Amino acid sequence: MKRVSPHEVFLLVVLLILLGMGTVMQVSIGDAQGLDRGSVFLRWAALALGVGFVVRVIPYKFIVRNGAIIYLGVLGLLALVPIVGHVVFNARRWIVIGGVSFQPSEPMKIAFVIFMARLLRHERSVKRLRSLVAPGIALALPLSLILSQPDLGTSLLFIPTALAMLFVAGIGRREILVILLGGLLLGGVGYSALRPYQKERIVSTFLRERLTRAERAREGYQLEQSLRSVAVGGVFGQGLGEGIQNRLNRLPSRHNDFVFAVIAEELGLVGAAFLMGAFLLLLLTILRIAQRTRDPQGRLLCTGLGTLFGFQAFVHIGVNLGIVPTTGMTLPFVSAGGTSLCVSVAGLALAASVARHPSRVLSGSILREQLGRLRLVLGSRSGRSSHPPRLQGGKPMVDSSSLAETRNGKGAWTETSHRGSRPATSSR
Amino acid sequence: MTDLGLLIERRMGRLFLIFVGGFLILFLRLAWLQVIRAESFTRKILEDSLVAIDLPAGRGRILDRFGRPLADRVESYTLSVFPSRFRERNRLDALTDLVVAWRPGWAARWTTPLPRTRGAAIRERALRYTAARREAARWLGALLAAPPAALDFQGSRREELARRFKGRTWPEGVLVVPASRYGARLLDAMIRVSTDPSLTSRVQLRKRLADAPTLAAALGSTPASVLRAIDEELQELDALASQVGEDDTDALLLRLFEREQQDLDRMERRVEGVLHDRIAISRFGTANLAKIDREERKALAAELRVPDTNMNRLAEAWEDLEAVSRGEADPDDAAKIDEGLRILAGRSVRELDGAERSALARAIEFWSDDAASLKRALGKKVLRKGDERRAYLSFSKEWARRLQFKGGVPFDLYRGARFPLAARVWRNHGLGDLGFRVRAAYGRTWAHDEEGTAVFLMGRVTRQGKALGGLELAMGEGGASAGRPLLGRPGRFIRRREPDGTFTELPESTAPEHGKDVRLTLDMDLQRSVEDQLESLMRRHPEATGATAAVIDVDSGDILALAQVPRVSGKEWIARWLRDGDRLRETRAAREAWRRGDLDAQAYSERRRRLILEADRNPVANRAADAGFQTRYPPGSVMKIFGATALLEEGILDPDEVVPTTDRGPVDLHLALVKSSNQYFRRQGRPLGKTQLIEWYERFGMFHPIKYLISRHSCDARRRLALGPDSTLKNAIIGQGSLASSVLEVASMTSTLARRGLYRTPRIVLEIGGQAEPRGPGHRVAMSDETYRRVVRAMRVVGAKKGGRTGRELDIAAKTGTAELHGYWGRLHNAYSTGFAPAEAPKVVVCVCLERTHASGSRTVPTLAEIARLALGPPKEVR
Repeated sequence: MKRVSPHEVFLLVVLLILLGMGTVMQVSIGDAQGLDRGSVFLRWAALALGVGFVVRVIPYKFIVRNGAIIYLGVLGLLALVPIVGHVVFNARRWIVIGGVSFQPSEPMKIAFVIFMARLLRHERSVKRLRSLVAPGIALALPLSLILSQPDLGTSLLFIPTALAMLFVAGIGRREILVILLGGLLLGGVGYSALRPYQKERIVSTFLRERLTRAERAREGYQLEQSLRSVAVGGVFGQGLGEGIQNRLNRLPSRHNDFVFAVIAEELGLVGAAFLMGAFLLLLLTILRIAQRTRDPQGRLLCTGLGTLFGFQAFVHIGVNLGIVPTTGMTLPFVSAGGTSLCVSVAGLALAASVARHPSRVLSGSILREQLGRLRLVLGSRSGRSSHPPRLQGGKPMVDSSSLAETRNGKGAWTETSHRGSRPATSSR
Repeated sequence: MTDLGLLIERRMGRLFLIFVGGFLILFLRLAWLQVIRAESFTRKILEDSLVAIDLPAGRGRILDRFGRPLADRVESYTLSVFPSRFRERNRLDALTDLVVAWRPGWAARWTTPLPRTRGAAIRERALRYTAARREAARWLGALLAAPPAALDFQGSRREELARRFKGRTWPEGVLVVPASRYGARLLDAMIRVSTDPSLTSRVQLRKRLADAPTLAAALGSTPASVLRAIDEELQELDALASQVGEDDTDALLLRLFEREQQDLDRMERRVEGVLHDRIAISRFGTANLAKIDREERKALAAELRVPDTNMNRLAEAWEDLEAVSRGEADPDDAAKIDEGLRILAGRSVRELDGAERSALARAIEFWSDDAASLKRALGKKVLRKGDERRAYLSFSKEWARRLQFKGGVPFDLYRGARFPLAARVWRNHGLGDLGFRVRAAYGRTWAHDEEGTAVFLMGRVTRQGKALGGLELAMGEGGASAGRPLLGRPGRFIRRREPDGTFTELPESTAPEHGKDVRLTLDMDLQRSVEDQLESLMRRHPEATGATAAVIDVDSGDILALAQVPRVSGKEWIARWLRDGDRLRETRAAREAWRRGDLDAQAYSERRRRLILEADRNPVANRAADAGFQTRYPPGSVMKIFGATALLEEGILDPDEVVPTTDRGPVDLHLALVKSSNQYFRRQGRPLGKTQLIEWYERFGMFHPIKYLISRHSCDARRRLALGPDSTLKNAIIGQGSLASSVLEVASMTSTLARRGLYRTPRIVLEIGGQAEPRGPGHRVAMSDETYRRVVRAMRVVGAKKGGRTGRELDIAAKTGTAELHGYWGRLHNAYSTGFAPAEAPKVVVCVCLERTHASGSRTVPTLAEIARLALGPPKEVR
């Protein structure tokens, strides 16, 4: 039976903590409205965990290998939204399949990460500017579809995710600069294309002090109530179910878009900091998995997933704290929303899959490093090593010749790589 | 590690650090909010949790010297509706809502709003009802059989769901009930189509939905029962549509709302809580009857017809409101309705005269007899009995709804209603719902308002609470020097909304303080009698435009009566006051036009004459007190008694010297006074000089301000006029020319004479809030006994001769004056007389003026005598 890696355990523990907090908060919020949000959330959480367990056992490479299919499939669903999607609250984001309605933009986030991991797996994928065209198109397609719904908040998640994956894939400085400049230009154009209510949200966040009381009440109502909810929590909070803003039903959408404000109100600075710490820990774990895996696909996958969760949490909390313009961004694993929960847990399960299926494939440079270490060990035992190891980065390096002598002394080695194997050669 | 590996490692590290940095910023912001800003945000939350209800304060009463109310405050309530928040309540509309929610595609057929014209809107609505009924027959079974899971409760932004029928909003087969106003409307629709009378609230429905297996079980209805109920409504509508004509939409609407009775019954329970809460708070400042004091309990017991003030009985009666019945009027109500019907006799309110309107207002306990407000109170229809009356009251709701254009402006259904009527109307309407509210207010009533007793003196207060003129203005909204004693201080009932939805009354609540009661020196009976006498005088001289009179108590200087005719009712007075602004504007405009050259001198003169004469006759002015400042008002020969005193005291005059005159023959002082010889005084007065003469007049009390009645500004202006270049001694000494005064001022001067030279500032206010008003300053005028004797002797002759039998009986000392006006008034006079009685020991001073008449002053002496007789009547008891 495959041994469960400590990272998986860690992921599971943090996930359960977050789901637990989510359940508790939904119960607390639900009571105020007389609705049983807690049990609804719990049911979805159980389903999500089931989905997660299934995804976890699937080798992630299989998934990434089929990333294009997954990406195109979900993109197709996303493309259906303008055609058959339902308008809810002036936005067309939902489609119904088999009587179940869901938002294709949610799985698109994961599908995008998977596909990007597939696209960027080679070093050469990011070496030149023109090789960024494919990832650019892969980004632009879902971004434009989601923007047209409109769903600015979700669409904005894609950009930092893509940037982080490119960054970790090894994109050059020149390319970074070009992307940043292009981004600024597009951002300027994009701002002018924003709808009035979206611009108002930006103003009401960053120029809040200039608004009159009536304007704040009208345009920044949610933000004002969110800030009040957060502030009134104090250090230790008002207690579960005792939040005055929560009970008075003053904060709209507090079960999803403003759930952090309720946490801050009822659990205080301590509880909110604990939550933020949990997310940081989650991010750290995922990035650690990424760091430790040898497989670029796995690394990119985890980088993308970690950035996705981390950035989403950052934006959600930032909105609740009034440093990011109001946008409908849920808090992963804590906010209500069945599709979002299932997709997020599935994404986490993918990261767990990376941790669970460590790459046995060694790249050439890493193999040489490993062999050098072995030689050092063996050489120290036999005393025959005459060459002091070269140090690079604090780790001993060996040259090919010593490698070959060692090998000859012990028999032929077989070097394996993702390209296949070839016998070692010796040369002196 | 390779370069690439190291690069990747470093970059991942940086990525993580970026996130750490970002979360650190979040943490710092969080800490700032929760540690540094916690207090200020908490304060904001608490402020928002506070609900403040203004408790109005009533104006202080104005009482006469015997404590009888001249102006009283009346507790009243105003029931208002906000039309934009009014909701219809019939099943057919509810069904339409459900159809749209269940089959969004169907809604596309009805995306246009209802037409503006009532007839077309109702026809359009009828079409929708019929179509909805057809749709319902197809799928109502499926809807009711659906499990509650088919209802999708979602949160949403309210404003985005505020508009109906905007395309497809949700999947078919799922009834989305968003947490917004529209969602609440859908829940209400479900309640309305239900045939289970025990289902009354959304909370109840939600609970049922949580437990019931199907929607039908939750609503307690079957498809058949729902369709049956809807068919009944449709049939009624069809029948009505066939009965009423194309334009008779009023009747149609009336019928539509008869169906609401069922809903009203259902809502009564909820209504009561709101009623008691709001009215109790408005009235008592608390919703807890145990807190009201004994006097209030007594008043409440009387109103609820409970025999004692026992708290339990009172509370039961309060809860029960026995007088309110379901469609049956109680005996008192029936009697009032019958009385109202009798008065109306099939006519509309506008056809009633003033007395009839007053009677109707009394009959329906409405505090104003204004035709427009009565009409609104009756809803423009003839008052009907019993069930018809209830249905008829509902009609007003429909009017409110149709006035959607009023938006957030409240539409007053009943203004000034008394408490029992307010409670009944509230209950009958089922007004606990959104859009309706009751506000406590204080109205004002005036004694003998229809007659207009002392209306110019007291002024009036509009329904909006604005004071117009008179003492209401001077002591209500007047300048700081007046102290505003009539104005009360409103209270505030502050309570905090707790997280569990209950309210906690806060100690910061303040009770309202009514304005202070003001007791005047006036005797109301005497005032009315004096006004009657003046009107009688006017009837004898129909060419006169008016008459004024003042009565002063000699000892105290109290003004016992200050009358002015013609009288106008309080209502008319308010209307004239409000119109007076137009006259002033027109006057200014004419002057500007003349200055610009747009108007020639003749046209200007003609317009000015018309405007001055209009002002002359304007009842809003207090001519009895300060006529001279407002219009041409020379006192005439009455001033000779003061001039004679001046000449005697200055030693200029030999009273026994006989002087030949062309107007009265040879006369000495006595005869000159009795016969009122102008020549005598002009000749004898020459050595005195104009300035000295005016100074003497001033010593007697001319040009002295009288608080609330004659302003310093008026005194200064008239003094300047009297001393100005256009003024001459020969006119001033006979009370003509640039001299201007009023009956009050002349009476004041006469009372100085009656006191043998002791001037006391007359006063109109006796007490404010129980505290005696200090008397004004006084001084002594040099007057020897001999001077006094000579002047009074002549006055007694005049009083006896001209005052008739009454004058002789009372031993009145009087002087007449016929003040020529000239100018715009042509050859008209102001016919004056002033005097006191009894002459030996004066008790009262009376001054009468008949305005703009051909009659001489002598004609007013009988009236003066009669007034003096009334003033000297038997003493009354002070309350």
